[in-house]
Amino acid sequence: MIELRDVSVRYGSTVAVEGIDLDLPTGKIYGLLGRNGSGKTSLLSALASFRRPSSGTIRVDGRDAFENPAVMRQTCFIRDTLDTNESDKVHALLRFAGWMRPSWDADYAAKLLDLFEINPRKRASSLSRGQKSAVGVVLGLAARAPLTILDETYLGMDAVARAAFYRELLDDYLAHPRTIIMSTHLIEEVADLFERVIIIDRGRLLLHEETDELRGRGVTVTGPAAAVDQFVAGHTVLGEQSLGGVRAVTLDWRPDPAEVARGESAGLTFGPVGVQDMFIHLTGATR
Amino acid sequence: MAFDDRSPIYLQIADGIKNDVLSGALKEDEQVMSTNQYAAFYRINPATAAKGFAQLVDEGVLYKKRGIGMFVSPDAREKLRRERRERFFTEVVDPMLAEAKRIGIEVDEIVRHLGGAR
Amino acid sequence: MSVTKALFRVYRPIILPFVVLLVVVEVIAARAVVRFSGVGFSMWLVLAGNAAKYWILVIGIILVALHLRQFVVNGATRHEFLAGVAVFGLVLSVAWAVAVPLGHGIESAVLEALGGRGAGYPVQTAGGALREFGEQLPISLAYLVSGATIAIGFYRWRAWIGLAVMLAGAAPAMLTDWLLGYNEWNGVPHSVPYPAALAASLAITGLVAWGCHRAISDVPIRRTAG
Repeated sequence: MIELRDVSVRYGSTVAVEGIDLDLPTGKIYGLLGRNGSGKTSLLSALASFRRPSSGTIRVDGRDAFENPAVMRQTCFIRDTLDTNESDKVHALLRFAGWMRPSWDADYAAKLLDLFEINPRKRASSLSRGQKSAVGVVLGLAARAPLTILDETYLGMDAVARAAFYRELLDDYLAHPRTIIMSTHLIEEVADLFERVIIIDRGRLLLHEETDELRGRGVTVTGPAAAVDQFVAGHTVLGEQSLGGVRAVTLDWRPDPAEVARGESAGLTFGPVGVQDMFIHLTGATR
Repeated sequence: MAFDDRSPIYLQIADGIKNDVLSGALKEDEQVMSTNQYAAFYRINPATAAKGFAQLVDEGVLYKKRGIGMFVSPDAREKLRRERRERFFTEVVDPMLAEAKRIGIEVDEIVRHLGGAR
Repeated sequence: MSVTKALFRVYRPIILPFVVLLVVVEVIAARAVVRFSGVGFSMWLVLAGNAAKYWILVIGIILVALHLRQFVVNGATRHEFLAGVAVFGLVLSVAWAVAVPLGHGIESAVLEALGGRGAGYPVQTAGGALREFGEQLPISLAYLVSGATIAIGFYRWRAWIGLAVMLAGAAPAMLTDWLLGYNEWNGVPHSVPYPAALAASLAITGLVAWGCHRAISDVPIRRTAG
């Protein structure tokens, strides 16, 4: 179990993350969603002990995480900008990881390097954006760390490479279960892989629930404006759009079949709300 | 994506397997894919697949043989048929009639149309 | 693999060629001087003496500027890194402290054999060798610590504070040079007798090393820009 208690991360007078309380059972794939500047990376940095939280505690299996050898050795944090020295060659990066990481799988790393078509003799500085991300993915997956954190590791990767990444991630997770926390902006692409979703907004925890719960949470009601207004009264409105006399309102509520029938007979139609749309509505600027 | 992202996937999984049982694609007492195989095949999280399977076990459509896997219940097809039968009129016919009324189709027209299908 | 072992693996392709290069330069330079006049000073003390200082200073800088992040990103704690660096640094310092008198002794003997020893050449003696060791060891330690401290100043803080830390960080190197430094004749008169000089050097080096340790033990590991 990974426990975060009242975790805050501050840079001088700027508060990036505030008062985060989270209990994350190990062995699951978590999706961490948040807008740019919401504090995702700061939170993940603290979780990986790359930065000491300004306040609060982070415990992994009951042990305080920061500067704890047992915890840090089992944690692998891959960021969007590859953490490497420019002159390092790819094969040297992998070799060094092999020296330091107890569960490193060199054969798997070589296979992944091949899959992403990376030349191991190339220097980090001569890799393209997408290639750097691919190397990050290789380092993250082949380390087989019990706590693997991937922070927007897909940046710059084309659709084919991303598909390969998601496929490899799932296959390796099935073969070697571990805790994986992924932050992403491409929600629709990856949401199927997440068992749970964590949403951070403006440095605070907005929600932490099973992905399917998020999928079943909202509804969009569309129809003549007056009928819509009457139907949605009393429910939490997440967003609305009007065009002429037609209004579409998204609610943080799911009607039961009787209510649906009632609404349909009033000329309303109901549509489900996907994870990405829920995210947009919950964190959108207009609230 | 094999599933619609906009409603709980575990329910879609359960529905999909129920359809397979009804159509005969999955036979009674036949073993179904493990949750991991299912997850790998449809590219979804295995916990979601497991939840869908657990739902089916709860409903009696599947049963578990310890150490071996999940199997289709011997009476699953009949059970599902009965369930669907009960819901057929409220979930399929009544909405159809409501739509017909909305667009001005008389019940007699529908009966004539059905007569052709007999 | 431990941090120390990994550091030696990383530096193996750097240390060996450097040593070879040093020896080659020494041989070529000494031969050239012998040609013309006979060597009246120790080329080795100049070359190796400076190399021992400045090469290890750069190592100190690079350890913090490049390797700290590399190790933490791969699962080591900052404290494990510091412990590994301490052992690594000590081994390198002792190696230089041995290489300087050893090389001097070989140079001394070879020049005599070839008849190229000019007037004023500082002939190697047992006492001289011991003194060279006793001077070089604290010098190397001081330069290593200075390098590391300069680097952490800029890594952890912004430019102005980094500058201040750099000046403080240079103290071990500069002070030790003044207290214990030697030249090509190994004849620099020291204001302070050896025992006190050694104590003072180790004290300032230790103090600055402690400060460097404190600065590194909870430093945030930042990303590279873009």
